[in-house]
Amino acid sequence: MKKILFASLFILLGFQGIAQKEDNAYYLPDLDITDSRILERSGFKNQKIDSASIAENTASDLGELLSLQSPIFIKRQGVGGLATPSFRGTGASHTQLFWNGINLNNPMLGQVDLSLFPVFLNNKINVNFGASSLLYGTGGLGGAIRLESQPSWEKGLSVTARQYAGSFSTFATSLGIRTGNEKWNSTTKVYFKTADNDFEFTNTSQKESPEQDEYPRQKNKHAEQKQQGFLQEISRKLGRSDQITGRFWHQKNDRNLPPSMNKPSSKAVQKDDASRGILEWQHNDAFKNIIVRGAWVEETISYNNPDTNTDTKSLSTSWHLNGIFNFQLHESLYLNSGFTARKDNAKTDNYQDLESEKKVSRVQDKQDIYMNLEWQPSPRWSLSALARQQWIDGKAKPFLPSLGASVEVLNKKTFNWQTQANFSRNFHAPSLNDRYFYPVGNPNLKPEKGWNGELANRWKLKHKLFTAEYELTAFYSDIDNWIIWRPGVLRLWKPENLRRVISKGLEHTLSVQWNIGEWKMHTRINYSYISSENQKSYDGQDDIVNEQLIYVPRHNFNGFFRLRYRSWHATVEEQGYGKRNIRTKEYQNDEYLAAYWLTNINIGRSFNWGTHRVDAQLRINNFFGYHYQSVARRPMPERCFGFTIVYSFINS
Amino acid sequence: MLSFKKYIAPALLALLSCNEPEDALVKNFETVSGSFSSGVYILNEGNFDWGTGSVSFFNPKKTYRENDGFLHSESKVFEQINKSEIGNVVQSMTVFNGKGYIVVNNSESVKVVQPETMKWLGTIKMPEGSPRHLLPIHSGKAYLTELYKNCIYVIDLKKNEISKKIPVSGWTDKLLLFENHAYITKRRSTFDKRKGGGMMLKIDTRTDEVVDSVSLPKGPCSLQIDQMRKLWVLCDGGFKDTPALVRINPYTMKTEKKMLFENQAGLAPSDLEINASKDTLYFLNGGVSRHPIHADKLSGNFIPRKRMFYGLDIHPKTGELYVADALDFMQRGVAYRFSKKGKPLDSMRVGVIPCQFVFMEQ
Repeated sequence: MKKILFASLFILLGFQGIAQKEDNAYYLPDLDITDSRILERSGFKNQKIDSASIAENTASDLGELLSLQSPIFIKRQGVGGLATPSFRGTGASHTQLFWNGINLNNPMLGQVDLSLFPVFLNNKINVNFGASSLLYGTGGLGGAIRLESQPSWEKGLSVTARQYAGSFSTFATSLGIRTGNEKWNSTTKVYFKTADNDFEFTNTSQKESPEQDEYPRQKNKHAEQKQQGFLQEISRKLGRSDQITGRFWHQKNDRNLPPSMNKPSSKAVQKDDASRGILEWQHNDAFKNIIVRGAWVEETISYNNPDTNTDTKSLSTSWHLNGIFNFQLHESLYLNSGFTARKDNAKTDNYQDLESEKKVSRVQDKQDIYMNLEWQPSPRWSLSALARQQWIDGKAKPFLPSLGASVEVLNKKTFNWQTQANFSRNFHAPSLNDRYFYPVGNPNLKPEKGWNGELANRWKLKHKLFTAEYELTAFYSDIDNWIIWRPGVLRLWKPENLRRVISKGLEHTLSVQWNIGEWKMHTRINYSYISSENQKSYDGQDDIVNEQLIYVPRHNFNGFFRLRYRSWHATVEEQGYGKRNIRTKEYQNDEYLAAYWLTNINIGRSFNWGTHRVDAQLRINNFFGYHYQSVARRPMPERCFGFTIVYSFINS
Repeated sequence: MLSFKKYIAPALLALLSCNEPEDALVKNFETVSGSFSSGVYILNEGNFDWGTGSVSFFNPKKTYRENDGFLHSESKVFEQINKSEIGNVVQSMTVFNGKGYIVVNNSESVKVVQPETMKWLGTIKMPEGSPRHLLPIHSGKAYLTELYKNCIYVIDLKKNEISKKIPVSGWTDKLLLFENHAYITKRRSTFDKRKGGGMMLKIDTRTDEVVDSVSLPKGPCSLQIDQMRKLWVLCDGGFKDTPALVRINPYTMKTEKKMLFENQAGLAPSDLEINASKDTLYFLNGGVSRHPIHADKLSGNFIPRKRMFYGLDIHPKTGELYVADALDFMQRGVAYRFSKKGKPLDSMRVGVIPCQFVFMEQ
């Protein structure tokens, strides 16, 4: 892979295209063909979610998929509820989400709700660990998630129609149509999902009356949700090496927010609407790759709760301009460079002028430039050096240098050992809410700033029948001025730069694929141990030092085992997490969320009739009916079922 | 790191044997005595929505010192006696006529208990409501204030249900009974779009009608009556205004005195209490302050602040001050006991967000 990296960009794109096709050959056809065009940096860790796993989870949301496939821990406010990532022990706003290069973290919240991203709409998902995200932007103290798609220039028409029906009246319908030729390409995707989420659970918090002996069985009330999405991508080739692409994505999410176990009723409703458009020009030749793109993102979050007389609407509009300039300077020297400019405008009832108490909009300007050199001094060594500088509202933010190195310690025919290390500075700027939320917002907040390093070893074993890969990564990150909201005067929570958090850990990944005749097996196991602890006492009396951050498990496990035989396939997915603290300081007899373990089973078969194909799949989630809570006193479903039928047609 | 006994074996076990619903959220308990007729209850709000409130109990005569230097208090008393959480957010407890009424705000209910044993007797429900504080009027009737529903509930204490609602606008909070009238403060939170907020209502308890009102500075958070039959209302200023201590004549509903808290950077006074002889007021203002009813000026704290003082009550017999510290709201808080003069006596670890003390007869 490394050699190819430096051969030429052109060749690389070709190679990845082939790899992708192979992957698809024995599974569901994908509408997007080619892979990400930007090379990842040497010495940094990233993960591509495999397309078979994506195909098995198309009715899920991005949060569900990532919790099965990546080491990112997802905290979930009940089924269909807010799902936020904790990547390598960091907070929700420390994971950056990019859609074709455009940052989608809500400028007001600083974070994304991964439950609002249907897997079906984005079938190229990359995970950048830690400072590997610096090639794309700042703020990914934990890392970044990148959703990408690229046009295919194959002639023909392909259609995929999916219908999912599952427990708790969950129905998801989706349709994808790709058409085009060597000159142009159009991809259209439509997605519609409704769910009642009215599962039964045992309310282990409250009995309904003193006479009741057992904890009552109750229904998860007021949890209905509806999601609709539409995605259109059109690309046109101009000459041999230029292309323009337009993308538009509109999504509406409507959900009722169920009460916690300690509340008898809820009438709260949340609506999340988003419209996103990207227009992009790209030039590719053997020596350079230039992309210029403009984007517009508009998000509305409406929250209504008649019980508390609350009705708020938060509207944010962001304009983006990105330029990426990549050059093959020399056979062994490659340069990435670029800029991003972004303007955010946010309007909400929660932003008011402190004096007049009038509603005001808050504006934020961000500019960013970066440069990265990839150098391969010898066939075994490759080095990467990046520098990034950001300005927010005209003020220079910390300068971010980042270095990485990778060496092939051994490269035999059947055995390959690679070692890599990196060291970077990074920061995360406070969100608009941190700065302006009335009346507690703190315009003087400093960015959360620190450095992180990583050391990784990867061993690959190739055999006639199988390939095995084991990767062991140690990471360390030290972030100061960490922002927390703490209760202040009149019980109003206020954001302050109070903590210094060191998170460190070990990530193991084992992946084995083997083929025996017509039997094909693939297994992947992730285990990570994460310690994420505050180091700073902010007022002399505060003693929350060396305590694991709340809702961050130390033990994180997931994995799958997939078996294919002719047109059949079966997959077992596992995920397990250790204990999670829900107290900033733990005392004897304190409550905590227990470790949990979930098992999902997928069985499917495909039927082929020439260009027509039908795939049927049965899915059982939480097969053993494990009782668990992701957020305290938010019930989660026991065993549940789903059935998917997919029709696809490919004419090329 | 990955020892078989410690991690792998339990993991395998967990996979193969199904767990019980109550295993999802692990709670540990220590045994409780079950007899609470002499001592102090400490009410703990618990975290809004995802948490639970709790009741701790402390008997100064029967306690012992823990390893960390704190005195021992019994925790999660309600939950252990009744095998059910009390709910969130525990707002207040009123003992009246042999029963305890614990208002649980977000759980839309008042839990009725037997005070000596914490045995749960029944629940008064206010569906979709947000109850705040309860004031018993006589053996058959109580008033209950409400945050959002623009009413005051009249509770039938015999049937444990709402008998009617007195319509008022805004957030009604603390109550006080004096002769035949109930005095009720009205506030407004920063995020509340309803108008008004600085007011006190006077309700005739015989007719349940609002008969008078007086306008007050923003955020009247608590009230007391002194030996001179004067009402004292502490107003926190509602974030932007200057907090004030106001004296009101309960008969005429006229403001007689208004003392402003100047230079209050980042502080809001709360929890107005009065001693047994009803001649000295106490309140929280970062630390603990006191104010003799005849003094002309407000004085500073005589007990210095700690982390986040959040509750204050005075022992009716000993005059000792009990102060609750909610720390960062995300861990078990601390309760401090001070002598009448402010000398620290002892401290104990209590539940999450301690807010009120209830003294049981000794």
